Amino acid sequence: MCKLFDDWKKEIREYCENNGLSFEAAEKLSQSWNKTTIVLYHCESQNSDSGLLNDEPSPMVLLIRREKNGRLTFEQTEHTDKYLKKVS
Amino acid sequence: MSIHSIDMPIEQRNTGKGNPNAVLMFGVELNNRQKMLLEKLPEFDSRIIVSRSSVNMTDLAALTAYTGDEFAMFTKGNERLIIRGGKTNVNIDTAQAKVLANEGYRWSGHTHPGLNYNCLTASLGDKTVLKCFPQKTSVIYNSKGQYLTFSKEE
Repeated sequence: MCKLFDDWKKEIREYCENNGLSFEAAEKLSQSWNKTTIVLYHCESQNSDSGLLNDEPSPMVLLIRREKNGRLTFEQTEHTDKYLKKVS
Repeated sequence: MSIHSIDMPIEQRNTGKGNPNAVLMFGVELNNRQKMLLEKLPEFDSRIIVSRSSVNMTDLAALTAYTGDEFAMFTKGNERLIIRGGKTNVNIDTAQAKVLANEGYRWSGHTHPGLNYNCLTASLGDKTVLKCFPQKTSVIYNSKGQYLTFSKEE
């Protein structure tokens, strides 16, 4: 898990709760990051011996960015509901 | 310091040459050292070893912006191995990755053609290849020069 996710955990949890998304499921997704951004995405858990010979990016589920004004913004994708929507 | 490592930042600062986003969006030229790299990487699976100071990940992003192909970079001491791939692949399977790791290479990063964060997620193959190396993380750059770090699954 990247440190940023830990740092932003409270805000991410709040966003998930306010938008009917499962924070527990979000925590389990793969994470990529830079200084101001975290991307949550679904990556299969098994290995692929073909390595970079099959290098299609995994489906992005949620984009989280810290804007210059300090606000955390979230962008859902066409995959968000599939992986994060709470089943009622 | 080589003449090429001096050339790049001056050109880039004054003209946008070699800036991945400028190459992609405005058709700006590659800078001189990127042109030299591309001459030595003419087709899929072309490979070269160059000095560490003569290439960085932003250069590979610029080459991806120019060609639409992936490029991968591995570093050992003062040398870097650059491999040209195709639109969605590089000829590195796990067997080859283990050989590179045993030779002392670190996987510095690679590129995914594309314009946004969608293309910066790691593939299953990326994660598997990273597990072949002792390092914990590597980076993916897109055609605009944006990047994300990814890690092995914990």
